[in-house]
Amino acid sequence: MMGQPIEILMVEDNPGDVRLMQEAFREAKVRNNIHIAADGVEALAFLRRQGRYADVPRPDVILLDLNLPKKDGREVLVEIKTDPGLGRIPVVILTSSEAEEDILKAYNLHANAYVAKPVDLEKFIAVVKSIEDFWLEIVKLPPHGLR
Amino acid sequence: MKLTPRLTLVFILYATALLIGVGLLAYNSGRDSLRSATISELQATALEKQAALNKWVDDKQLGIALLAADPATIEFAAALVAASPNSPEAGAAHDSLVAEIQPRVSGGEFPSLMVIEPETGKVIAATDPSEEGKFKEDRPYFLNGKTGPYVQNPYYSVALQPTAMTAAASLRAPDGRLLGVLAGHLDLSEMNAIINRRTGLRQTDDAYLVNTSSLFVTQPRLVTDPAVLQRGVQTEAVNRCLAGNSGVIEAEDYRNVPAIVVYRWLPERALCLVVKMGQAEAYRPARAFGGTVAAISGVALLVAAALAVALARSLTRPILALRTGAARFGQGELALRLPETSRDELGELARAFNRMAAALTEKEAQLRAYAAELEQRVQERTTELARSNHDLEQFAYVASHDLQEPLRMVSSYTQLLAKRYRGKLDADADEFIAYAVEGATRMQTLINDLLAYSRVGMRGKPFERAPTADVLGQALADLQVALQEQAALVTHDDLPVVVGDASQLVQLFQNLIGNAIKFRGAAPPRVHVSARDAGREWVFSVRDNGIGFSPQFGERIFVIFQRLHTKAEYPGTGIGLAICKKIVERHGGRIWVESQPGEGATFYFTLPKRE
Repeated sequence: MMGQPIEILMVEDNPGDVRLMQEAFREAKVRNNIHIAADGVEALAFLRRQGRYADVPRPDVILLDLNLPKKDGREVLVEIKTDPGLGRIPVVILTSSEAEEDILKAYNLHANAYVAKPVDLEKFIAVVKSIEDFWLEIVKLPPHGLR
Repeated sequence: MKLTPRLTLVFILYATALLIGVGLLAYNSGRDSLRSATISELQATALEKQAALNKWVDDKQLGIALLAADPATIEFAAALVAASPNSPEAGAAHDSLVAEIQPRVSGGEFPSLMVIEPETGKVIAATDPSEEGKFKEDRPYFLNGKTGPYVQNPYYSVALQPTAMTAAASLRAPDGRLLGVLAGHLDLSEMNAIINRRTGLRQTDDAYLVNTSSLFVTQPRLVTDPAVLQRGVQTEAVNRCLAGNSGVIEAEDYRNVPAIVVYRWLPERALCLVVKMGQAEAYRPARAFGGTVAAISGVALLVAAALAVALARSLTRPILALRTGAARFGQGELALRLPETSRDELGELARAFNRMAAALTEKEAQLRAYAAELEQRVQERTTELARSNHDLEQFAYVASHDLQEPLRMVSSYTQLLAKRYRGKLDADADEFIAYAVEGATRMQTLINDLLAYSRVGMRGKPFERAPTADVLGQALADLQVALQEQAALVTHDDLPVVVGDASQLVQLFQNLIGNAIKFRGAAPPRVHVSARDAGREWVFSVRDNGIGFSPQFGERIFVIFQRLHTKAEYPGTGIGLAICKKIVERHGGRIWVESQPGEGATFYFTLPKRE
């Protein structure tokens, strides 16, 4: 199964979380290319391959934080899901909020999964692992070339 | 007794006493006057009759004396005495003498006359022939008549039934020689007429004479039977009179009829003169006057009673109005005022009441104002408190929420350090990292607990009907694993439907039953849930057979992060019961616990009944 690395877009403004996510993927031994967008505007530019992102690959999964500068995670989620070229990319909401209304709202906006950032490192690694298992192996996603 | 009848009674009693007193006084004084007048009248009559009687007797005495001094009478008497007895001269002298005195009898002056021989007392000549030859030598009129004119008072005479009076005078020759005694019986019907002679218009007046033998001498006017003269009379007046007294007495008369009696002892006649009048007649004007007084009194009494009632009413009406007013005022009619109609004390009373009512009303208004102000202040404080409480919860919520982010960083990276570098640095580093990880983890737990605690107030759901049996069922479902592991048995009675936040109530039962299992004793955990209707609220109890605790900790265990055991004995932060308390209080109830070490614990909480 370990073919080409998974292309991941992580929309996260906190470098600590970014690094932690990278470490978690490393610990989980998932081959990946993590692309980072520090805010919502940048994330959409990446996805639409605008400006300096003209040559970036199309991500296999988007890890989206809800609290972002400039354009927050909810707006980004709406734009992704209403964009016909991006709507099929799985979006995992990754946040420290465990508030029910946040979770409900996210699902209403067609988030594919909602994962609270665990405090426990081992659990975090397990979460990352499950993201890989679930979204990159079990779910049969449409091949790149089909779009 | 009520005031009106009491006042009326007093008034009427007073008026009655007054009228009776005045009436009696007037009656008695009238009666006294009448008595005096009657007595004067009776005494005058008595005097008059006494005078008339004496005059009559004197007349008779003078009459007999004149006859005895008549020369013809003396001549014939001398001739009779001088003649030898039974001689023709004697017979002629006798006849002449009788013929001489006969006209006096025929004229009615004396019923009969006789001449008595002075030595022997023998009747030698008489107008009544049956008297001749009889001896009168012991008769007082004979003995006294020898010395001069004399009238013998009434005496009993067998011949002259029933009584008699006799006048006598001596017959003396011109030379003074005693020839005989001329005696003449008196006509007592004349005396009777004198005594019975009446004046005026009286009806029960009466007069009579009684002699020393207590016998009637004259016929009492009010007794027609002549036989009364042979009967004695024993009245008080007569007894006194015969004892030689004169006076007045009010006593019963011979007919046992009350009378005013004037009695006079007539010593010259040795007779008692009684003049009397019936009290009934004498006092009739007094009686009539008394009747009039009584009638006037009766009318006056009726008027007085009416006045008394009117006066009492006029007194009690304002008092009753005051009483009614005070009662109504007392029941809250603060605007009530009494009419201030009169200027007297009752009007003053009404004014005083009104002043009091006004003062009270003012005080009441002040009190209401104070109360309203106080209520408003309490309201303000409550609102302030609620806001401050809410702010505090908000703060706790935000703080615990926002603290999670940096904490997660600390926690995650210390754990990463531990994972990557355990054994690669020195032993101290490993230990330090371990403590950092542990601290961060514990802090995480605490913050989560704090967040859960503040969520009870911040994130509560609206109240709705919730059957507690279902709530309990949900809680048990959530605890299923723990219950199975501990082989715990949870039972319950019939549980009511309450109104509240169902998910919080689930958490409440979950925490309480979870505690019961956690603090189990040696025996398998047994938990019993029941509910009791306490009127306005339900009292729930959760009883376990766990280790229990000393009652002194009954309050403390509900305080957040307060624990009775070390982490080594029982894990936990001490948040569960604090959340229970918060949930119950959010529902408006109370929570408390009863326990003894080793005897299990029973948690109670109340939920108010709501619609």
